[in-house]
Amino acid sequence: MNLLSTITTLALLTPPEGAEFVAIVPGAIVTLVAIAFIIVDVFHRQGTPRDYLAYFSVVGLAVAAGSCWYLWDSGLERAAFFGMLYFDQFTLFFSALACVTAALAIMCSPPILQAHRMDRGEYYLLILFSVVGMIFMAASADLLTLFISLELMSIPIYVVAGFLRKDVRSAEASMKYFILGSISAALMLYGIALIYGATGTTNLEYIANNLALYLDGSGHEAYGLVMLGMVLIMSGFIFKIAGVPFHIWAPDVYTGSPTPAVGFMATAFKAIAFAALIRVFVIAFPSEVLRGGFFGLGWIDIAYFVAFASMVLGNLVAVVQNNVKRMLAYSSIAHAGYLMVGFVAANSHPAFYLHNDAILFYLVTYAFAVVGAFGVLGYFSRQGQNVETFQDLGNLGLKHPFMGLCMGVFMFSAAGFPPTAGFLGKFYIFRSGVDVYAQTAELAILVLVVVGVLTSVVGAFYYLKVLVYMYMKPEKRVFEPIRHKGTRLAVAICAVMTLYIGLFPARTIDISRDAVMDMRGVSAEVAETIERGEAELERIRGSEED
Amino acid sequence: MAVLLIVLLPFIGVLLAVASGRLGRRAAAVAAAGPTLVAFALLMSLAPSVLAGEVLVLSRPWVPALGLTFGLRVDGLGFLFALLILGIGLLVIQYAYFYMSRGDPLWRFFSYLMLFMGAMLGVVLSENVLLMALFWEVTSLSSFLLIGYLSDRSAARRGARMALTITGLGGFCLFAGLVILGQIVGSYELTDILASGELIVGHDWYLPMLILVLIGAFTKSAQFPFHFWLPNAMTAPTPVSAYLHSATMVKAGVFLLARLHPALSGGDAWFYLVGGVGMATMFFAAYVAFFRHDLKALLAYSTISHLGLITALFGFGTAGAAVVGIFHIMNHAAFKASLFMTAGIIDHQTGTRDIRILGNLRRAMPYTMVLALLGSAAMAGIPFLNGFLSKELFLKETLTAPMMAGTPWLLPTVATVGAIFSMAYSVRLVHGVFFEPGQGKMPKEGHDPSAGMLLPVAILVAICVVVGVAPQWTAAPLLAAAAQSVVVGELPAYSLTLWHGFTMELLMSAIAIGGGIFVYTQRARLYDLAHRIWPGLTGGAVFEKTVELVVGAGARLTATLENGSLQRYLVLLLVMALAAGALPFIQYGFSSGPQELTPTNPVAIAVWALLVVAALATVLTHRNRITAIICLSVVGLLISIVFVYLSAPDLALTQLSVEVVTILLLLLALFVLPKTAPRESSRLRKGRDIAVAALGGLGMGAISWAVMTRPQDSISDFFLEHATYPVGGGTNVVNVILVDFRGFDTFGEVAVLVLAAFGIYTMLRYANHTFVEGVPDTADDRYPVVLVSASRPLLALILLMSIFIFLRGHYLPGGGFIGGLVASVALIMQYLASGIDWANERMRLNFRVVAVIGFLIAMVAGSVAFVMDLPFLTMALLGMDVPLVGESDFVMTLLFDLGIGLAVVGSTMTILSELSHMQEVEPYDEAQRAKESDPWKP
Repeated sequence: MNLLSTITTLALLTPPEGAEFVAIVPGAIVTLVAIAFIIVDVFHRQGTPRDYLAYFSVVGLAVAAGSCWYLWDSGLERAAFFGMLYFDQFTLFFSALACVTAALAIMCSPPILQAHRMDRGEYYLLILFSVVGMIFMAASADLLTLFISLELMSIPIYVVAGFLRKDVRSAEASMKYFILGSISAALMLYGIALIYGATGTTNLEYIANNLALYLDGSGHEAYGLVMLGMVLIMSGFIFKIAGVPFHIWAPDVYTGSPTPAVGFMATAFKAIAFAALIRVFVIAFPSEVLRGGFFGLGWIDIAYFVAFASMVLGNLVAVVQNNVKRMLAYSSIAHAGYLMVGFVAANSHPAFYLHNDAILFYLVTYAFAVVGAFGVLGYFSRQGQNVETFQDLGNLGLKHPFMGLCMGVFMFSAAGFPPTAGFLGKFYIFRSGVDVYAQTAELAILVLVVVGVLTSVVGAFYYLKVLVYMYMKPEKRVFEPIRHKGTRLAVAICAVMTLYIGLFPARTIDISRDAVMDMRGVSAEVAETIERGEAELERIRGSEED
Repeated sequence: MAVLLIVLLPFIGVLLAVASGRLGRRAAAVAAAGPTLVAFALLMSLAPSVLAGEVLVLSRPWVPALGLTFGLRVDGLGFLFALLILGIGLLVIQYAYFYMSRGDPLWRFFSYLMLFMGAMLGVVLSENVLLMALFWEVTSLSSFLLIGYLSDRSAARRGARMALTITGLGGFCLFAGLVILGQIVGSYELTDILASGELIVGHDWYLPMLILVLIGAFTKSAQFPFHFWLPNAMTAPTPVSAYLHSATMVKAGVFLLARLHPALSGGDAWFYLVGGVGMATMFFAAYVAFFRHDLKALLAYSTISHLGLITALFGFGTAGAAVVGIFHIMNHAAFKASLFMTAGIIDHQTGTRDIRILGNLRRAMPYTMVLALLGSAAMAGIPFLNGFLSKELFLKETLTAPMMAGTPWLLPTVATVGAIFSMAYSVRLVHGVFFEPGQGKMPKEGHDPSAGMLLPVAILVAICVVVGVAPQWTAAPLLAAAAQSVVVGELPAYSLTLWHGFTMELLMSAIAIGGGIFVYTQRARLYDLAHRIWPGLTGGAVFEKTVELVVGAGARLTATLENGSLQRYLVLLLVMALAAGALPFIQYGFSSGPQELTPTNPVAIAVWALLVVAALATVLTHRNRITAIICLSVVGLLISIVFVYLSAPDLALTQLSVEVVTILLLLLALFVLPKTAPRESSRLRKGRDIAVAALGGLGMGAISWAVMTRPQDSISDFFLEHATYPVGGGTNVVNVILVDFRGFDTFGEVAVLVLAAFGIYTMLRYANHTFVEGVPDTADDRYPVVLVSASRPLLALILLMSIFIFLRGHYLPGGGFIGGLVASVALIMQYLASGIDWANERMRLNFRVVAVIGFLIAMVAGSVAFVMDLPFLTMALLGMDVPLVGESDFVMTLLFDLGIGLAVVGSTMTILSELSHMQEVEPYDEAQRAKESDPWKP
């Protein structure tokens, strides 16, 4: 618990232990790949395509993801580097997810850049740096590392959004994203400052510790101040996951950015923001008063509101979109809402902590479906312009059976139909909600689940519209496939994974659960829940072997 | 194992059908029929044990975390349904082979069909209820694909989407219901659920769970008020209608009722909901069916009506009624599928399905006529056909239904009236098509189709007849086995015989038949009447209206929230942030802390007031750029005065020099901008922005107040204690902190500054600038003499000053950072006063190199400590003396400070000179250029 208590002025002068350096391995690999990338790019012969650079980064990211797998069991008990980074399975899970989505998105990218005459190495480089930020954000044990990695994750993506700079919309997207993102980051930073002011530390565990001492009911405490800081920190996360009311940037940015990069933004950002959200709020703000829950007005209630509003608004507005990318943007807002339902359910009480695995599982299912869907959209183009409106999709499914089939899988998954992964993801989330209802008899959570179910039906409506156009409507304008092997491979991987997880989800669920159970630095109540969960799991696995 | 194969075989059929794509129609049909046949044979091999009452369960773990097992179960009910699915499936494949036109890609059709078959088998053979719900969704999906198969028709697409939305919604609700059910029982296995009926019915969540499950069942079985999707689904090819929308898929709802009957039935809620909806649907749909002119629409409503009948039977909740329900499921599947196929044949041969146009086909299509006659008779409940048996049993059940003691006449009356209309539309179907002359001309002159197409119909009709004549020897064993799995305990007594003597139900049947014929004779008047009083409000219209409403709401939301304007987004973002910030205030109120307020000084108040005025002036004059910049500089200067007032000379110095550099930078930017900014905002928007700004400012003020009135432990005491002379080696605490205690931070900051300079350099140098034409309203005298002559001597003075500030840094206010800024000011002044070319000619220094050298010096000075295995810049601990200069600490910090100063100069100058270069891009005429290069010669 007392992580920093041993730290004195002298301790600050001692370098970290050698063993701690394992905590930066995945991040360091990606950084090294990025640096090597710069060097390779210098020697690139002008006028030749840069596909090989894309594959170079893909291999690098694969190595980083592999290292996560390799290091799965070698987590550190305490936060490394004097309480700066956690290195546990939770970190590794999200690091690997970020690497995989980035790799898949990169695989789809070269032809689009070439079509826009922007075949530049910086694109991949920026994504790589963003991944570095993501890896460290998932690992953050301190609000400062959190904020720095948040910026490292976001700033390259502001640039990527405007990468197709000959396209006006792309530039506009970048500009809007940058300004809105900066304001939201500033708000978050202000929140961090307030929390620091109230507790005198930025370390998550210490915040919890000091808050417990500070909020002792003596009357001198300033709840409002802590609350304000917390709310502002939360607003930063909500912005990143594109949750209502901080979702405004998403549609414009998704529409303007290079199509495969949107897949990366929509999935990895959401995943990592959720990782940090869970981490920060579970570790730093476990106090009952701050948690609130079902209208005690604390962070759970804010999450409740966000979940509700995101599901309703996202789904409602997605229906009327004529642009597929915009539709996916709104649907991504809706997905943020579903994920928030899981967050509310799992964290409304420490005893439900283990339900967080539903969020992790959902994120995996969502990642493959969405990266794949954007890959498919990027696969068809006409004079450098990708397929965008529903009309553009006309008859593509029948003309290009493979891509059509994959898109079908992605849309079914996003809409939550079996036997795709998306179905199980939704089911898992909603089940955790029902479970919480069953144990607490709080009607509020059931309402949230019901709204989730109903809005999913609306969701089915617009996802299937994609298929209706692809298979049932005549072609309006001729789009040529780009015939790029990398894209086809990436899309195929996404489709296979979506089906695989849909049919055999046990392993993915196990990994999600392990990741959640392995999270370090949690409060005593949560630790108890984890222990109980472990015992339960032990029992189940034991009985299975019999 | 056989069970597993039965479910898997259709899915293999999907793959085979897809693979047969290039091999033609026959191959596709074989690919579909083969696996079906094998599955059928396998099912038959299970028949002896199932009919003997055994329940075969196979269960494999699948997703333990979710309580999902891959569990299959064959009992009587499942067997019966599997038999229907596979048997009718075979006939439909045969029929479809002849029915579908030669141009159609048959493989696609058959792969969808097999997908449905597999999913449907999964539904009826699942042991795990979640698995069942999973297959349930897949049936909705495959139905969507099949309805939309003829996708070039917009009606088909609409119907497909409507069907999927409704059944999909139901599927989700069912899912939620089943999850709650599982929570109640503690297991998702049917075996456990069926065994805990009492627990479930008595549970608190029984009602919500029941409603959710029922929504699932009712949407699937097209019960009122969800019935409307089924008629719209009739755009599907007829084999699909025969198979999915009469015989199998729509039966999934009633299957569910039967399946969960032992567990859920019994409560009042069950009776009123299920029985009530069933009866209402049965009556209402029978009535509507009579008025449909489209053959398939008539049959669709008739299907809804019969499904209502079955639902009602299960709703009665008694064992006897449940058995009858199952019996009617069997019968209905047989006669309705045959009728749909007949309708398909008529459509296929004549090119129309409109009863008004069709007519007199008895001579042209005699075989079809016979089959249709028999099928309709079964549907109407004429003796010697299977429909009669189950309908009579139904009527009997209405007489003895529970909980209706108060109004015993109600159910029988409704049932009889329903039956009357049922008879009427059956008569209409046969008479209107085959006997009555048609009103229009049929597109094609019909004749009987090939034997291959008639055969499936004939088989089904034969079943109707055989069961109707000799039920004991045909249907009885199957019914007994199926009923056993629906009824808890002993089977009730029921008798499947044609003749029960003169009973009440026989009378009702007679009334129905007679009444039906009478209604039919009055049809002309009735059509007229119905036409006049037809309610505009149908389920389909409500659905369309809802969809429209949702779409409209979405469109309006988009228009308000997402109009593409960044200003709008920003306001929304800020308002939301304000709302979030207001939440704690609302919750906990605002309270100031216990700290006592320090007395105010009138001078300070005056300065603050001036600050406010200057800030306001900046905003108000922002359109006139030069005025705005002047106001802004006033703000900056006042702030540095405030710093002085608060005894922070270092800060004041820094602020001052930064302020000057910033203002110079802005002035340089004015070169490329017009004198005034355009008027961009409307009055309304200004008001809005003022409000948001005021709220934000008030909020920030309140927070600052709350924070500053509270006691706090500041870190500054620590530094005041340790940072000064003996430990830090200097007397200026700020400088000591910067270059010593936090030396690494400072180093990092300088690195950022240098990097930023390089970034700006590349961006400005290599980007293509485009400027608005005709921007400069420049004065005639670009380089005023006074400024030029003053700036040159000042250069030397200021540089000297900067060195002075730099050197005294460690002990008095000053230091490398400020020194560097001051030096930059001196240099930029030259650019401003005498022009870029002039300055560049004389200053041949490459400032980028200066920045890098400064950075390197700082790095070297800081990292010397590393050699001694000490952290960055901790030379004080070394305590060495360096000859001539003093302590090693002092030397190193001075060097470090020098590096910082150089880096600052280099970076600032790089940035500013690049900015000033921007004017060169402008198109000037030659004369002006000449003038500029030599502005003033002394």
